[in-house]
Amino acid sequence: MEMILGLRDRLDRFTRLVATIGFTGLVVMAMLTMFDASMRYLGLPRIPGFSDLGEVIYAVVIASCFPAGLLQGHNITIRFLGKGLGRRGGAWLEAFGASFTMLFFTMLAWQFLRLTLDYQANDRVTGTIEMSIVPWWWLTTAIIAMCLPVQFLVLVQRLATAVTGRGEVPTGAGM
Amino acid sequence: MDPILIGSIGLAGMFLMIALHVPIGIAMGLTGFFGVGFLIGFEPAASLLGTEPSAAIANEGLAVLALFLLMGSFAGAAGLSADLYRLAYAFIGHRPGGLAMATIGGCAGFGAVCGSSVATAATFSRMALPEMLSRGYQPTLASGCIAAGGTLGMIIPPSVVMILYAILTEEDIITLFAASFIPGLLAVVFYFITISIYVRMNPEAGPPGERIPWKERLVILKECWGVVFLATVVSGGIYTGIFTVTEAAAVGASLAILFTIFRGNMTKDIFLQSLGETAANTGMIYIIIMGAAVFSYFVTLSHMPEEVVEGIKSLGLPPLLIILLFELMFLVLGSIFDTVAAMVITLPFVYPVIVDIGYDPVWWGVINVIAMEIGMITPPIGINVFVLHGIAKDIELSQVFRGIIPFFFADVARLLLLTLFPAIVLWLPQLWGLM
Repeated sequence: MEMILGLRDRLDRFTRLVATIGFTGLVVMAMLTMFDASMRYLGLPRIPGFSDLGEVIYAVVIASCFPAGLLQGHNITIRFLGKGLGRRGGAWLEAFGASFTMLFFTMLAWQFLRLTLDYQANDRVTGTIEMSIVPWWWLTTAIIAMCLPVQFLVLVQRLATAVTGRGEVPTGAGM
Repeated sequence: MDPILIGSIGLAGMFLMIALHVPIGIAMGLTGFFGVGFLIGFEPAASLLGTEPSAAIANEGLAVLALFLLMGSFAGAAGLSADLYRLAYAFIGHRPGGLAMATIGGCAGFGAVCGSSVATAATFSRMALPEMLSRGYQPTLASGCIAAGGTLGMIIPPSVVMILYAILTEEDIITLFAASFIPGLLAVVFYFITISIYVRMNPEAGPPGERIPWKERLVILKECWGVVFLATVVSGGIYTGIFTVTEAAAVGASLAILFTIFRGNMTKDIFLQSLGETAANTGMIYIIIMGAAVFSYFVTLSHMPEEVVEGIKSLGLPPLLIILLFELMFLVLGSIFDTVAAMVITLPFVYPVIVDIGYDPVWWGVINVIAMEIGMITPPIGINVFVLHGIAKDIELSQVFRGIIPFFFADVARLLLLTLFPAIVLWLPQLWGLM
């Protein structure tokens, strides 16, 4: 259990860093959007191909919040049954929920990989300035793939809690 | 196998997964995947799992959600919520129940720069609750008005849930914002009337605060220009057509960040905390959106919505009764289920019925959000109540729920008014030529 917790701490720091970098990108996009909109309103030259930038950056930004979200359990989950079944029963249900989340993200990562390979094979570019979208989608796919070891750790931890009865069982619901 | 049967099994499987602690977005996504797999094959189902989520995360229109959440986080960090509360208190705090009214006013104002019900309830639980309790307010009224006031974040534009409804139903976001403007104001008026009646019947519940002299009021008004400016730029920019919704959200987020910096509130910790909060909320919503995209595809393929429409038609019920039954369903769903998830799951079935019986989808968007808003304060879940209880643990849950009762009836009265007179909702968008 201590090894899991140690690994979790390291992953926690790393995934938070990824989310921070990603959402700093959102701050930059917000500032650039404000600048671009102001330029348009004032009739001054706008940022060339700015909408193309949004097309690729938002995918990376949004993907960046998933690993940290999974590790910290930021998901809308209904926990009525677990409360009724007690701590141990709740822990088993948490493990069950974590295994389905693992399944979903495994399929998601697999499909993102296929999609990115398809983009690469077809040299896909953006509409206006014809910037390649391939590196951005590789980055997005890499972040989605990062969710797999993260969720695997969450699953192991949930299973360990269910089996040993030690450790934290999430109780919150909703957003 | 019959598509309707597959659809029904899928739906039952999804609810089973949700009951067994599978996150709602994941349960929707997996149901969609397996459902589409059984209907048209697993190869197209797998492709769908790539194309729909990737389209969602790369969608610039959807990024408006993350940007408004960013604006809300930094607006709180900049202290704009405290400004609003101070401003409202300066003008109405001296009346019986005035602090409770100031809280409602502050929540409404913060809703205009935040867009999240839970964030509004959490912010005012930390700020207004200790203030009211220290001035002799009864915990029932103090907590009830915060839990109810928090829901204003959901109806007063820009509302994250309203944006989600617009995106999922392909309605115009600006039209929905315009339509929710008067219902939002009505909510504030109804809450004020409720507090007035409450303190008239029970004067000890909300004793009047000290009167602030006019000179001081004007000083406070001057000091609070930031929040007025932010709300005006965002809403004014959208309604006058200066900005698109995405641009307005980006401008709002940027200005909120600049306010945090220039007010000297921006530290490394505040920056990281605000980004972390935005990322956590964004992730939760996007997992639901990704799951909903796959699930909706499955529901459409199964032809279940058409069956639901035909089934309801065959009952021969008057349209108004159907609407009232839907509202009741959302009240019950909102009280036992997460409200956002309740809307997203039911939308593929409810929306076609609304259109089929001749009601305006924009009007329904507002009504749907109000019904869910009431669900947020209805037991046994009532998420705002738990947010408040989590922050103020010394106030019993039963006290909060007791405090909510008068506001609940005010909400139901408002919902019935807007249901019986859709023109109240649709008047502003029609006046502005949006419909």
